[in-house]
Amino acid sequence: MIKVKNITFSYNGFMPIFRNLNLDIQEGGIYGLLGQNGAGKSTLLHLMCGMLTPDDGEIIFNDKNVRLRLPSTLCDTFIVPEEFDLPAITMAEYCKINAPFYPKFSVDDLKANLAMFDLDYEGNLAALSMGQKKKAFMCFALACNTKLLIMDEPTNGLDIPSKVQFRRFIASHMTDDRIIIISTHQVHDIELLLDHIIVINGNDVVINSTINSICSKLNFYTSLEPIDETKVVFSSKTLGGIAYISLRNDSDEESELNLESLFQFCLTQPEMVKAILSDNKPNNEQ
Amino acid sequence: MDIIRNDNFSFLRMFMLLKREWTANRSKLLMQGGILVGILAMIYFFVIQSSYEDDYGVSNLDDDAAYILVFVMAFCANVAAEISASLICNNLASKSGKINSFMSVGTPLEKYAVRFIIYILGAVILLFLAIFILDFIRICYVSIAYPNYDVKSIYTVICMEFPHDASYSIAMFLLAPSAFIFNQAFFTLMSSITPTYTFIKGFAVSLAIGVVANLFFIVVLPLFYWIPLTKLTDTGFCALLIFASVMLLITAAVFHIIAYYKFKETDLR
Repeated sequence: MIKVKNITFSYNGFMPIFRNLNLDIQEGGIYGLLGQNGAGKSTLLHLMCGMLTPDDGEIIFNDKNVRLRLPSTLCDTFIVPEEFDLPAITMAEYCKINAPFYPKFSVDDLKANLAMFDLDYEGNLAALSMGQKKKAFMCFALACNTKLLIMDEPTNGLDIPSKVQFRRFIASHMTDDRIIIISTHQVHDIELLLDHIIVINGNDVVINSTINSICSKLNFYTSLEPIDETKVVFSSKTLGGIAYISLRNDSDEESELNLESLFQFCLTQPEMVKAILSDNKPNNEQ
Repeated sequence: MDIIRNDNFSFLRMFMLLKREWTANRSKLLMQGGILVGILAMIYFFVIQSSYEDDYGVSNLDDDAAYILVFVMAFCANVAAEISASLICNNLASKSGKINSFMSVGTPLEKYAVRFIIYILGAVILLFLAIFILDFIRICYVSIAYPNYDVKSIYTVICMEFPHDASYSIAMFLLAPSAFIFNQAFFTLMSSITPTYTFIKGFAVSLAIGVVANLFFIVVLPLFYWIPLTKLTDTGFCALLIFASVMLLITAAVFHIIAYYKFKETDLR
């Protein structure tokens, strides 16, 4: 479990990106970290890995402060950043020098992952395109079987078939003792994959809930016709019609989450979203 | 206890990190080492070309080139060691380099030690080996091509040929290595503070410090207090050299400690 305790962080000493941020992240979930550009998604991920030093507060993983960058936490953490460098060696060599640092690393997993993306275990990493490098690095990251896997914009640079493979690939590696956190602004690429959503906006966490919990409280639907708006809490025009979010009654059939609408709802009415998801249902006629 | 999960310093994990660093960067490191040896070889070639001439009428000519090379190589070794030390935190200049360094499984001390071994100790070993081999080639070549010369190795010149007095020995075997170590430590510190263009910035800072220090010792200090260096006895002069050497070594150690803490505290900002 990762505990973010009262984190305050700013890059320049004033104008904090986070102020007294608290967050608990449990094992066994694929978390989607969503937020606008500049909301602090990557910053939060870097804080969780101990790569940034908070002005105040601490982040605990494996019962240790991640900022200490201790081997016992580092060997259970892997980050796939948006930009990374791979050395000009073969994947086999890369594996030989890096795998010993990850106690649960599985070379069979790595070979299976590479095969899924049509990549060669003996191929030189320098000869790969940017997208292939990303896939190769993600294959290695998942084969490490670390308790915490963080991916920052993992679908950037992937072609459409690879994005489909990516979802299957991540889902197949999920276990009850792992935490996978995926930060992205391309919500369509990952919405079917997630079982937990974190939305950050303006120094604060607007949502930290499971998809089931969200869908038990909200209904999502798209209609070409205007509808009875008594229960509607959010609507926005989309190419397919008007996307609605309404409060769900127990008698209503559960709908499929529309992550894009939910995200927009969070940005426009964060307090209402918080109130709904914390069971203090607001008066939607406000 | 599992070596990887051990939060204390581990030599085994440090050697694993060293192996990882070497394998991932060997082509870059070999190229840097190759350029360094190539420059030294060119200097040797230039000195040999300009210092020896065929004069079969005279034998046992003095090997002046060996004396020149002692000073030229001392200067080159210092510059090369400074360049190498200024690369110690070079990969912290980029975000991806920082992430790669921070997320490596090891304690900060192990990661710093790996860099120290490659860029400080490795540079010294490479330099001495390169100079030794180049000098050996020079001796072989000159012995065959110019048999009228009494050829000497630069190590012979350093140890045997210069006048043998205590202050010379201290200067040669204590002050010079201390200054060399100090130079490396200074550029290491500079690299931990500013990882980009470190050598140029370090050179500029040392130049500025040099100018200020010279002004202080030559212009300002004599106005208030005159140190009668010329009246120092041999023992006093030796003591002064030893004191200077010790101070250089202590300062170098302090620089390395500060560089380590700077390295440890660096984050992604």
